[in-house]
Amino acid sequence: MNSIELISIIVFFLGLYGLLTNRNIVKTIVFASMMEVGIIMFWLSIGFTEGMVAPIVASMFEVDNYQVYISDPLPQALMITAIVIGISITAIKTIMFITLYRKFKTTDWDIAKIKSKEVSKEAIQKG
Amino acid sequence: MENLLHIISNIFIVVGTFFILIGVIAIFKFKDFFSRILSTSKIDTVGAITILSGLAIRHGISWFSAKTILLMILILIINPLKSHTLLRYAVISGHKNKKAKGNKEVAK
Amino acid sequence: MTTTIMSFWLFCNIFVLFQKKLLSMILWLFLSSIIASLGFLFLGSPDVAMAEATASAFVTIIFIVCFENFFGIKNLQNFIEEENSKTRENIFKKIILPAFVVLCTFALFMNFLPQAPQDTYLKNLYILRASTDVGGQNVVGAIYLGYRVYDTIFEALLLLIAVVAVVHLSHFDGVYKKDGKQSEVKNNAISLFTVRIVAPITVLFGIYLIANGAITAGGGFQGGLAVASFFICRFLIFDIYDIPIKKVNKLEDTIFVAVVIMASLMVFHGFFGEIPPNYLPIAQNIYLFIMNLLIGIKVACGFTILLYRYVAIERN
Repeated sequence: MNSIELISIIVFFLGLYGLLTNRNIVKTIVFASMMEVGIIMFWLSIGFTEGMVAPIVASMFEVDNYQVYISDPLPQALMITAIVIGISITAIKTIMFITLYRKFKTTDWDIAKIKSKEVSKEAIQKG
Repeated sequence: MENLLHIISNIFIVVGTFFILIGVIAIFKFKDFFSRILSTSKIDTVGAITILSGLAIRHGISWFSAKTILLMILILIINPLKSHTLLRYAVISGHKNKKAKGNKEVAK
Repeated sequence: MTTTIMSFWLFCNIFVLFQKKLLSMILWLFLSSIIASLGFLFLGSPDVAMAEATASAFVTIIFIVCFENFFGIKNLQNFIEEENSKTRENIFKKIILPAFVVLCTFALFMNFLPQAPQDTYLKNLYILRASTDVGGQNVVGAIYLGYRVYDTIFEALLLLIAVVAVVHLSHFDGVYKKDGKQSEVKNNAISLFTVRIVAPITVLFGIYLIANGAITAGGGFQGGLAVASFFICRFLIFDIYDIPIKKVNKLEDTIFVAVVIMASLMVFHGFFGEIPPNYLPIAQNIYLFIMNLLIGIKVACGFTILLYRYVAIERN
């Protein structure tokens, strides 16, 4: 159990707590992107020792007898795609918030819930 | 010869760290926004350039030193843009300094 | 030394919870992403560090510029909760119960982490055989273009879907300016002079990262993000809105089809070094170069369209 693994797990759960207890919609979006940074750090710190080297083959042959510890290439390839996906999902979230603000004129979870119930009641009455 | 280069580069790096420390203390001591930007600009120019030149001296004449000098030139070009943009948009968005006790006019 | 830097990162994330204004929360999050990018470099992965550094800047720009254009500059500092809602009556539902749930899941998670030392069979296999199986010298590039190319295809698809969603959910009631002249330049001489020097260097660096993805650290994703930052500079500093968005959208779609075709050619024919006839290393290098180029162009187009729709969202 690494020390960096522990730190990144704590960051993830801090983000989860912040996501569950905020009244403002925009702050939940901010905490969601904080969770993503925590997860990426957790993946990359799984086989951690001090002084790791990047997995590039040409620079490895300069070192005698592979005495340098080489980092794991598989999580890095997965996390590069995860970062790009994270940006696009954050973009979608903010656009959805703007649409919601235009309709209900509020940034509060409770008030938006009440107003959306009123809208659905009117729609049921109209048929 | 190598030992001499090492000693000179260590002096540069220590001096640069000292300048950065003074700049960071100044950020906490100043009371308004516009003075703090002066201090950050000083940190970026003086601190970064002394530390990078210390690194370039350590490796002598090589491709590493050429890349470091290119980085220094880029930092020198971008630093005025950063300070200017911050200050200009602070003024445009209406940021004003608070009234100090002895002043009679609001500093704009 | 890495552990001390990561403890700074932990305190930075803790400070995000205790802020009251939205703007300071966004800035602390930006700081934590940059320290994390430095931490990735210490953990031995320069590819991820490059991608995270640009990604953090993009996310902050999305938050601040989007809300500034939407709510006005002066309201961004005071953008906190509304005054009419009553919060203190639900203190059990809102604060104590989520804290309890979070603590229980944390304890459960910690119970199931593995304790034994890991087996490094797969890592050694990738490092020894990547340059003969797929080609090139960057093992990470060989993995996401050769061994695990399906991940890349679906990531490209997801970026396409995000672009479609943003384009259709945002209204733009104005007219696209097609003449290419500077519409309203609201900046003065210092910004224009400096950006005219820095912007070509940025584009050159992005193309360098894309083209040399097979040899050093870099690749399609990082270079595409760097090239996209040039176009974003154009919107934010020069205020020029003359990019034909529909043509860029069509370009992105056709490049996605080309990526799928190239990848399926490689996957269904087998890796180049194993199945006879044995291909020359030049064929491997050409495949890697073309795939990196296509992915770089696609990512740059996608993020340009996303940020354009944000900045042009309320221009009447």
